[in-house]
Amino acid sequence: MGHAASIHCAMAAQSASHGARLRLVRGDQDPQRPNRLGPTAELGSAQLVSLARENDLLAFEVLYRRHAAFAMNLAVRIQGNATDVEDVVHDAFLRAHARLDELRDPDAFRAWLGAIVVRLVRTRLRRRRLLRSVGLGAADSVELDSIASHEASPEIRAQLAQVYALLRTVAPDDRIAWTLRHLEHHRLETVAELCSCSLATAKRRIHRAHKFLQEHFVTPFVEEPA
Amino acid sequence: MSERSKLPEVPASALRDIATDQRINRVWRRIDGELSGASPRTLRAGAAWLWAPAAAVAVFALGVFVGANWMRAQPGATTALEAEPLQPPAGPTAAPEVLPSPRERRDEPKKPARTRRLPRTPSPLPELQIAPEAPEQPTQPPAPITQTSAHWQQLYDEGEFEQARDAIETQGGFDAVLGQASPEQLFALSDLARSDNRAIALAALREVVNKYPHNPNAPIAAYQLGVMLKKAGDLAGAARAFAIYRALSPDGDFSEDALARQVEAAIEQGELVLARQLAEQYAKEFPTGERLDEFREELEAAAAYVPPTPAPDAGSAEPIRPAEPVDDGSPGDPPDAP
Repeated sequence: MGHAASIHCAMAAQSASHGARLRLVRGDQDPQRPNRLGPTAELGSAQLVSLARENDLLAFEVLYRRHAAFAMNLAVRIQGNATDVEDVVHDAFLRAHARLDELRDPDAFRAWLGAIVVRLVRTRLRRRRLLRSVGLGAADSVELDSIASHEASPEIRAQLAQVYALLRTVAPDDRIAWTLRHLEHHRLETVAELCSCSLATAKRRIHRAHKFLQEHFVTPFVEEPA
Repeated sequence: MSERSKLPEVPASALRDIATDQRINRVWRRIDGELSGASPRTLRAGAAWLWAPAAAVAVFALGVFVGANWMRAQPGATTALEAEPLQPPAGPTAAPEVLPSPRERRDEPKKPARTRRLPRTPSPLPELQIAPEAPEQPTQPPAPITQTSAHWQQLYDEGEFEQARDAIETQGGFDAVLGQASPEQLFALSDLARSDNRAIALAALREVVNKYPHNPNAPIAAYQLGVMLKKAGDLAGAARAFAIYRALSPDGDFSEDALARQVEAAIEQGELVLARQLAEQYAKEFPTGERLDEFREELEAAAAYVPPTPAPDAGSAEPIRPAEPVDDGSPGDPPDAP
């Protein structure tokens, strides 16, 4: 609790320096939350994690609100649809909350959360694949509207549709690694971290999926050179 | 160069941000509800040194209470896990003194409550005393599975497949785990082993089918077994597994597909008579079946190609085929003998 108190003091000082529209709070009290999140919202990841570890739900909410969009979009882009995405995010944050003590570098909360999301989605993909191999359950649907922005050009939308259709046939691990690298544009090291695998493995997975896509992708709307 | 240009990079701006405020708030309400209810962190952050010993004492007391009652109580109750190992050594009559473990005997020298195990050894196995712990299973498969989920299974459920495999290794490997697994665990094992150890995957599925034919997973296991065996080139085994699926789940969602696959397998094996019989059955059961025309064509083509060598009426020279899969609900043969 002492640590929490010091963090709240730091936070109060920080907020005061930003122009004192926020009230000073004592770290050992429940902050009366103006605007619900209050000054806690200005804390850094590491401080929030420390607070959340000490059972500060408000701090965890800030973490959630800061990273929920990332988690949701990550899940949707890996899955190719928005089915159950809220469940995935819900489960991911609950799991993160329960295991905050295992997070070694509190500044790396985002990547750590991402890895949890990836694992959850991977499990779902594998289960679905297993069921499908048995004939149970429908094939993964690709919801283009969940993936492509409304502003995207028809060509890009067609590209995405085709890429996702092809990705459905790729092994989940390869598919995830490729999506993280080529759609989410993460660095290779981050991909490896998110996939909880070595850099070499991540590269191999990306390469496999990429090779497959290159072999099967047909440029839409553009005539092939003769 | 041309390859690379075929698969252009998708700009980040082309991707949609689906995380609307509504969605984010909705999920948070759920999380908040769960966390503010009974948060594991709350318990952990609270004085663990207070509740942990209290909980330990409570659990111990409960264990003593339950144990005492159980030892004293009804003879007829069949509780699977505890009583299981005691089953084999039960001799016909004189066994009661031998049954309790040495530790029990030390603790409770004179308790007649040991007899509670007698009813657990019902009637069969009179002359089985040679096998020290061989789980002889004459007719009835081991009934209820109430195992707590194993560590590897938790890892599997969490998607930690490599770790789950490692955990299995530490428990003695797939073979060891296989023998004690519940139907659900067997299913998970088959999934884990599918990629690099197909034999284990097949064994796990067979276990489900053979030992737990009444388990809800059994039909699916049979079906998957068929799929895997077919992939492995064991057409006869696959056909049998599909037949078992149909026997276990005659009105199941895949009975049409299973029958179709049986027809396929028979055609591929060149067993035209059997294939024709199965195709007729398919036509009868699924008059609007998608593959009806295909089968007709294939059979006609096959008949045209292969002159009826043994006998046109397929009578005596025809090898004896396994009986048509019975749709009477009986589990049928095991899918494949090792």
